[in-house]
Amino acid sequence: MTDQLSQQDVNNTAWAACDTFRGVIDPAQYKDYILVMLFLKYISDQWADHYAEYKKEYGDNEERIRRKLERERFILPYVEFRDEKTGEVTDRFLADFHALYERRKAANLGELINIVLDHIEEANKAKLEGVFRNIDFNSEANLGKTRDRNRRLENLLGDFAKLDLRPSRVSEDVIGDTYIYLIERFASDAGKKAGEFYTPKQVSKLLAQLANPQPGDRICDPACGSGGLLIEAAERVERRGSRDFALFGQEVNGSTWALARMNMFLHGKDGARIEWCDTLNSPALVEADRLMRFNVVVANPPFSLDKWGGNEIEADRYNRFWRGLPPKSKGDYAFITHMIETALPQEGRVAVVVPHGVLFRGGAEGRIRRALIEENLLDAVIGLPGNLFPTTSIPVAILVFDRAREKGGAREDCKDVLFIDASRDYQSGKNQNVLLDAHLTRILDTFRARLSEDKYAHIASLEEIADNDFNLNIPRYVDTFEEEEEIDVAAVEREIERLEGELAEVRLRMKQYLKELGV
Amino acid sequence: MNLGELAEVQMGYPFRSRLEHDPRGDVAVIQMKDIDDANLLHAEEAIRVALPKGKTHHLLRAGDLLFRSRGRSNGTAQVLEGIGPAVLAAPMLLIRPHKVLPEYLCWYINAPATQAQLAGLAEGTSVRMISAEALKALDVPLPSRATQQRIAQAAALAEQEQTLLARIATLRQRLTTHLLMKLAHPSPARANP
Repeated sequence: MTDQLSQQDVNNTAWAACDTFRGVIDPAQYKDYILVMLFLKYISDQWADHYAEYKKEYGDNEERIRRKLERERFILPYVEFRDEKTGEVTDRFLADFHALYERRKAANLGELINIVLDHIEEANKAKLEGVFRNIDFNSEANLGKTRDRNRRLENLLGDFAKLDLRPSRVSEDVIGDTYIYLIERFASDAGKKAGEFYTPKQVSKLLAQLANPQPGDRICDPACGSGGLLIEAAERVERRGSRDFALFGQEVNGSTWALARMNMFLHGKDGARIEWCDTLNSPALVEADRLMRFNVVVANPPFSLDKWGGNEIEADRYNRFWRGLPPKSKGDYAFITHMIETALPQEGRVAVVVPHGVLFRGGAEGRIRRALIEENLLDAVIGLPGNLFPTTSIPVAILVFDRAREKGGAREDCKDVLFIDASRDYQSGKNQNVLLDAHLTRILDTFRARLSEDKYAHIASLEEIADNDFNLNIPRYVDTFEEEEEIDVAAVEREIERLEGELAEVRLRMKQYLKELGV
Repeated sequence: MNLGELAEVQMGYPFRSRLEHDPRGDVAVIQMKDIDDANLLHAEEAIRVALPKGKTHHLLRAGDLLFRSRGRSNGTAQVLEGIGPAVLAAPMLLIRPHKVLPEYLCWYINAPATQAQLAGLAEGTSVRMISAEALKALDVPLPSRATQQRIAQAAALAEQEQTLLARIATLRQRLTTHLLMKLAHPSPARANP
């Protein structure tokens, strides 16, 4: 196993490859190029690896090898160029990374890469349709004039040529995690510019464990981004030794959606259904004209999304907003409501990351919040430290809803809400605070045990919440105020007296000195 | 007399690369951040490195003054006994007095009038900076050794007075808050009744 590549090796090589583009174009764009190239390299190496295997088995019988390869996860077709006049084939090659690498000096390199990607997409329509649509390797606007563009692409191919991603050398997990690693690095590098709300791995982990997906569950993330949270949730189930789950995601940004699709394949989650759509305005995860329902719904939706479509949605055909229409300028409750409505009645679990305003804002949001609490759906409110996200420094909270608490559900009798104030447990980092495993464990242990803990967790009855006007602001429930030690009045008075004596002495000595100095 | 005549003024040790903490390092590196606003040195929090051989003349001695050549406050801190092996990092300036009492010189540089004078010598557009040359040219009055000592001692007493006053004020504040809180709540004070 010594020739196995470690996660670190692959990560480093991939990140080094990004240097080709760094500074030239915006990270928000070049990450697409890098990630697509990683994907292409992976499927090409996989193909080559299997080809070599079959070659050993069938020798020169190309026909049999070809037939065997037709059953691969991804088919790599042949590209043929013909002379326009004579119709003669001038060039024929396998649409893969290696053919491109051989042609890295070609004058029309960008175009060649586009052609190869086109052929791959065409040959794998069911799986890859639209995945490469957003990317143009021949774009002068993104990659510069022909000469610069060719040089950059040649460098890019050279960098990835060094990365051996054959299955015999690296596992699927490593490649998938490299993908996540790059997305993570890009998010912190690009900051707000990338415009993506990348969810840090530890937050995904926490969310997935709070939602507690079980074997057999349908899991959905209606704002899935590049899909990290779905993968995390799936791995929770896999760790229990089951591959029995179904993943569903929706993402509004086209190129992020393409990334999510590739991310799923790289993690071996080929069955995931990821839709490209605006969850709030045109949900695409529907069956028979009704919203699909899931056992687990998790998300880190964009915070307080402005112009989320509150104008048009009044007459929502799925009647999601029957508790009240969220304000037009803040989409938080639109996402929350959507998530609850797509959770299975009487059993679905929802875990969502929200900005703190969601806990206490009044108006329409206050009314929706009150309705959710009165329906007994809210299970827990967990406050997290500030500065956990690359895109914002505000502290966030996680809301856990459990539809099993509805009338007729298994937890119908549970009538209280667990508050956890985990805002003080973190490791401060250079740019961002980090949740360590120990912090997660503390939150999860408290969540599962559902116990009060002084200055950390509190179980609030519905009456208590009603007394607080359905305001969920965490300090109202978890008292973290460190009272000053009960002071000993007499001792303090004595101390002051002593210090005053000292002061008088200092002043006296001072006077003497100044006198001696004659001033 | 010019400060340059009373003391040796030299640039701190120029570390070429970013300073990385080396737990096995034997030398503390004093940087701007290790000196607080009251011009007190906190060497215990400084990062440690292994100093290249033959650079021992850069080691700090008791009585050395560490001058902040950049930034809005150009105070100076005095190195006290028992600091252990330490070097000063550039761009701070090291003042090693030989014809003047260190305590006295330290007080003189930190005095408001001198600070105002230094402000006039500052260069630089974005970051205010005082060059070693400018510092060397600073005119320092040189009274007798005995007077220097008295001044330094009186200054130390004035410092002590400040500290005591602040401590008394804090304690009084706590006492008053406690007594008034008791008046407001007949039962022991609770933040969240």
